[in-house]
Amino acid sequence: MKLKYKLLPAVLVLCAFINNGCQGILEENPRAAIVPSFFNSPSGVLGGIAGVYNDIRSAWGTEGFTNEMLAGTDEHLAGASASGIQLHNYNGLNGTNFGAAWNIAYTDINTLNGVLEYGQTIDLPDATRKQYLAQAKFLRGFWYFYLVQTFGDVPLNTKFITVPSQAASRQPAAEVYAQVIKDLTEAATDLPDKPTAPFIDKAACKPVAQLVLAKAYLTRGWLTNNQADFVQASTICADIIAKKATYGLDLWANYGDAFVPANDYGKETMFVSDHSKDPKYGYYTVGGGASGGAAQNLTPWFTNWNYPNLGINSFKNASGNLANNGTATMIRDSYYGRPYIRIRPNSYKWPSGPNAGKSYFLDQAFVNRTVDSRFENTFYTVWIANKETTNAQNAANNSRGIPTYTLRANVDTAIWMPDYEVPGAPQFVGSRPFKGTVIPPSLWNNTYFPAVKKFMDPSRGANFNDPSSRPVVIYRFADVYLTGAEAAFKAGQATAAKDLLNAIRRRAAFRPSNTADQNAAAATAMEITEADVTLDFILDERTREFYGEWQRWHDLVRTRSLVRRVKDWNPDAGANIKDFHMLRPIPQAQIDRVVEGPKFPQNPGY
Amino acid sequence: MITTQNIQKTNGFNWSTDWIFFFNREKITQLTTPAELENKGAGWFVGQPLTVIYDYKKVGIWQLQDSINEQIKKQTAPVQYPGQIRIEDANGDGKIDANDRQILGNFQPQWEGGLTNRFSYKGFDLSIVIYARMGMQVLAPHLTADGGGNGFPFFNQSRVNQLKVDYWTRTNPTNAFPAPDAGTDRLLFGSTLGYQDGSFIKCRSINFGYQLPSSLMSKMGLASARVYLNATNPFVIYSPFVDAGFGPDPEGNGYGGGVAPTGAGDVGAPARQISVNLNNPAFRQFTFGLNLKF
Repeated sequence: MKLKYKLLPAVLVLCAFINNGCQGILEENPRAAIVPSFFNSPSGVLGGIAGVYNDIRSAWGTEGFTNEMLAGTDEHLAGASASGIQLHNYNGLNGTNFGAAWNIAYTDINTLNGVLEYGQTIDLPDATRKQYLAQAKFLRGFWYFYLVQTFGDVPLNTKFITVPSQAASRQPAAEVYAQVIKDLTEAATDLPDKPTAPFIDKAACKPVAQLVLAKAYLTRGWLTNNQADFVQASTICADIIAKKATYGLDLWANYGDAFVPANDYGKETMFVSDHSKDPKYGYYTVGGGASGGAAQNLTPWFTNWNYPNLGINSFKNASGNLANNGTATMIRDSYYGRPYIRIRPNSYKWPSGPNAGKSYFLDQAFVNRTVDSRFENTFYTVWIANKETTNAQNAANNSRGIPTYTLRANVDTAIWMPDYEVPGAPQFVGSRPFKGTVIPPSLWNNTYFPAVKKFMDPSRGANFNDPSSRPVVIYRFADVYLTGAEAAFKAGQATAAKDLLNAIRRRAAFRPSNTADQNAAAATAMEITEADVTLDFILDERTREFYGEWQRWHDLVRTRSLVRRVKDWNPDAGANIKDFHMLRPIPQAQIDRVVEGPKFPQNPGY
Repeated sequence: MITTQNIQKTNGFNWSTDWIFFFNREKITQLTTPAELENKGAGWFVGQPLTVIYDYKKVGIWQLQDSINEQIKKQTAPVQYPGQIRIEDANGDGKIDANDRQILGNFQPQWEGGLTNRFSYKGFDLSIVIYARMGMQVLAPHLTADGGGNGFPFFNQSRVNQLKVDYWTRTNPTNAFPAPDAGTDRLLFGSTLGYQDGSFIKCRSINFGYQLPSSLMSKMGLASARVYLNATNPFVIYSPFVDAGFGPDPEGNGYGGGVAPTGAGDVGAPARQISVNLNNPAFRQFTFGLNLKF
């Protein structure tokens, strides 16, 4: 009997332990994670929208995504340090090496579905509610438009998912387009004419939703050859331009002004992905020199070459290439940017074939460099010495034959990349010795090429290795003209197409150094006639206007021109590109993670 | 554990040995449903340990001979060149893609063991501890590169200082590492380079001591005194990893950091792999000490 009494306390203790344990497991009070009930408040809904804007930063302006939007087109070739070489040459491109934005897009879409579901019922003034819901609709349309252009049929979720699922399926692109057009139409109706607090600066407003809507109609029109869609797109663009004063939008008189940091939020900018210098947001550490990662805007550097590594006595070697030699004449600075050498202009000169003797860069897209200002406004071709370099007369490979001289900082030209052949290069111009280095087009390759200057961020100062905190401009007002021109062209409105193109082209002739008369003459010289308007002309115009602005791959796919133009101009990708490349491969992680129900299908060909 | 008394002499010489041998086995018996046999996204496979290597199988480096006899041409995608990593075309369709991934190994040792030898003679004592962990893989992130934050950025791309490895050239037709390529920031199938044999036999410690005679001590007013010399992690006896020059110590000291075969964004499964990183290897320490008791 004694034993029984001894056991009892032990049993009681055990019971208490089990009880406590169960309660501890079941009572959840999450504070760090977003749970569905978070959306059931005004701040929750606003936070959801802000979160999506934040996520856009992790695509536009980052390396993987920029590659996906620019590489493997007629405009660009791989730089010497290219990342994702499969994107450039389509050799072995598959679901294991593509899909930088897939996860971001679907996370955001689910957030927006939550905002749209809970936003209907929470306690908000009607006007505020309308604005919040319109923002959410715009962003959902924006992401689905990206997905359907890139992957074709994709999972279409419009309900907030709160229970994890390991099943997924793809819906036809037509259904996705219908949803995109519905969302963007409703957003365009409800959004204010100009960005309005709390969605300030260049967040979505009415004309932005209209532009993306026009692009969606245009893209669907190309897919299904639907005249009504082309007419819609054309009408919408004309409408935006007609009301540009209401929207506070216009073209700068000078193309170059659109890329001046002070004008980042100016009249030509429509929609941006913001970046902040403020360290409290955790993305920018002053002097941290972040070299990649989510929300880091590294745009200025991808298209830059390794200018601080070129020696003063570089020479043309026996095989006709530029051999790097001697003391470097430049050091890194924030004006010329950090050299990432990822992407370069397609300056490959075709030795034979239909484009024999021509390069896309100099002889097709930017062929009219004397009148059209966009070449000089897009590219650095001159590097002014930012340090002193003394070059001894007897230095190895110095063939200038002049006494020892010093390249003066901030005065002398260290490197010059003329857009035409210069005899005597790289150490002479003709028979005259050149203190720096001359690199004409025949010496351009994946190491030496003109750098894009539009996105440079000189505000970095001494912290030249820090990412840019300039916004990534996703849509410019010029895009309304060229989207409208393409739509008008397809809708059979030749005069409208010509006029829209001419508006952009006349502006491109402007140079602040010209007199008014010279500018007027140049603008007239840029004008084209209806007979000049072809699809290829429009695509070339888009290169001139939007070089490097995350548009090219979608431009070529939309116009069903990808395969043709890549074969015509891109020597690295031409041999590998096939029709199936018009859709990108579904990321392998998505296929791997669908383990319930039918397998998640890959796009054909991959 | 078995302890053997090898020698026990009347003159005071003693030698005993502790033998330890053990192994762990883990395997996944069921995923969410009994019908679900694998979850590639999470890297889980029924019948396998929790963490496995699921990746392409590197069979070597494409050689010049493969180009001459056109073996290399049988692979239609991606088109490769001599000097690049050669992957086994597991499904034989002429393409290397995600369908060619296989389970290549895991991080669970086949067996582990220890051997402790103790010697004593008069005032002297010596113990040597040897430890073995055999038959598992480790991940060496510094031998891989994906151009992003994983692996060793710009590995084998002649841009940065890196570990000296046996890389391919026309005159060095090795099957170990591919030819350097300055034209890209990531090696094709570079994830396969990080998986290495992690087996090792190490000397964990050597402890040598001398107990001063008590007769001497009492004169000096001490209860006892012992001088000793201790070496922790003095040397590695067997390790293919160290022999190949991949690092000073073969023991895992972290998780993950390698390159995902399916793209940088998908690090779910590789994040669990046991890795030997360049930071903080097991320290080697020599101690000389004197124990005095009053």
